[in-house]
Amino acid sequence: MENNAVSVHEYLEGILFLKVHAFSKFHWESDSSKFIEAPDNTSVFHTTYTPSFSFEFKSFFNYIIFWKYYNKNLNIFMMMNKNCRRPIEWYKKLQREPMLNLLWAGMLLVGIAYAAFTGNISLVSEAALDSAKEAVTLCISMVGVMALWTGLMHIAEETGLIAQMTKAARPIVRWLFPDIPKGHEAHEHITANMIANMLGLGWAATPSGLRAMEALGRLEEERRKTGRSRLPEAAASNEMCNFLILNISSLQLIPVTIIAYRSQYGSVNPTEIIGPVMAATACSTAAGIIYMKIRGRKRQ
Amino acid sequence: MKLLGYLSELTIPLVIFYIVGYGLLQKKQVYEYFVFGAEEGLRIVVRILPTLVGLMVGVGVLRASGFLDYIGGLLGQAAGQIGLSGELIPVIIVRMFSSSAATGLCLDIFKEFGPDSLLGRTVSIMMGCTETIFYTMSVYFMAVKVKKTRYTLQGALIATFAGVAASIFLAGKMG
Repeated sequence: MENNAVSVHEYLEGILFLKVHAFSKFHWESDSSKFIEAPDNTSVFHTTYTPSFSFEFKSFFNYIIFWKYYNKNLNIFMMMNKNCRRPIEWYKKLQREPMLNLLWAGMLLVGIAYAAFTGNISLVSEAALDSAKEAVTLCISMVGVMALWTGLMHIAEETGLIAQMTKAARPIVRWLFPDIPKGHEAHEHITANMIANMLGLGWAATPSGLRAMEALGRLEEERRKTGRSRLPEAAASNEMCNFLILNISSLQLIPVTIIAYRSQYGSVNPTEIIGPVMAATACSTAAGIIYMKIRGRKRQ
Repeated sequence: MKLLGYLSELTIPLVIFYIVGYGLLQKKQVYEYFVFGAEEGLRIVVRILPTLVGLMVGVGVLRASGFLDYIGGLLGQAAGQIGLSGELIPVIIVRMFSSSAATGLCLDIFKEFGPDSLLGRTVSIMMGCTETIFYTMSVYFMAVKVKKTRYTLQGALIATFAGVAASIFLAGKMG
């Protein structure tokens, strides 16, 4: 419940440019499941919102603006409450890469130490400043492509196109995961996750993927109880392994960000990689499917 | 290869045509939806910016120090025998751990060699057809408190290497 409120806070920050300090120390482990279980309706939002008030407004003035917006644009809030997870999931994905801490620090420290060793140290400060500047230029030129894509995807979502694609993909998922009983909720989440991945909607893929994992966890729990599974607790079920292999084999069809980067660095034809990427993705996914089918057969 | 070329040219126009056309057929306010969604794209880029600054500075420092050239030369000797470029290996390895760090290296390659060079194309395709193995596994398995991952890693590695091999092959065929 709390996390539902957090997501609204974060969104507020984007819209109103208020300094809203949401619970700054919430962790990935604690939020993944609860976040998702939170229902999408504003009546809940009302009741839980006030008691969990834990942010500071910088001034009374901001506070007034906040209430004005809040009362006036309740329908916007409703809409946001439905959509708010997407940008935030993305943000989290970028912020919470556990390996990045060491990688990044390593890059800087090794780079500087090596430069001092080889006498290139004079180049380092210039490179650091230039790279920082370049990152900003890159982002500015990326905004266009990103906005175009998310805009299109929003149309697809609102008109029910994505829902239709999800429906169309159901037989494939049934073929890939034959052991999931018919009508089990896991089907739905897996399909949603796959479609989101195909369209490059990372922020929409993560929540549905986590939901799928949870559904698969419950399924395995049931199997354990009825004695159909001999796997110990805290071990991944076949379906979990298969789902992740599929996920990691990359299903993305149009690599939007790479296209944006390519055009920024002066590619004559930035989109020429779409076809090859589709072919390469098909290869990696096919390899993953073949492997998981072989492993799945072994167990029986 | 010709077929893939057509696919590259036609995908984006077709996607746009289909989505917008479908929306109109449903008698929906497509333009409003578009604008609402586009704003979201803006926010996404704003959120990528800090990461990108951090990582591009990291890679920039590594490049300026000469360390990347050193590693590339070192790996190039070993990798040259199987027809790989030494610059590619760091990207492949880092890609398994962190998507944004790999993006930093990828951008460095675009800058040094150009996105239309063989290396630039290989990296572009590779970034598109692989995923962050260890990151994805840790996030998803942590959510359901799974400790024994069984054959996930093998499968993921097999899929990734198939993707890498395919991207090297396809990039060679392009152009």
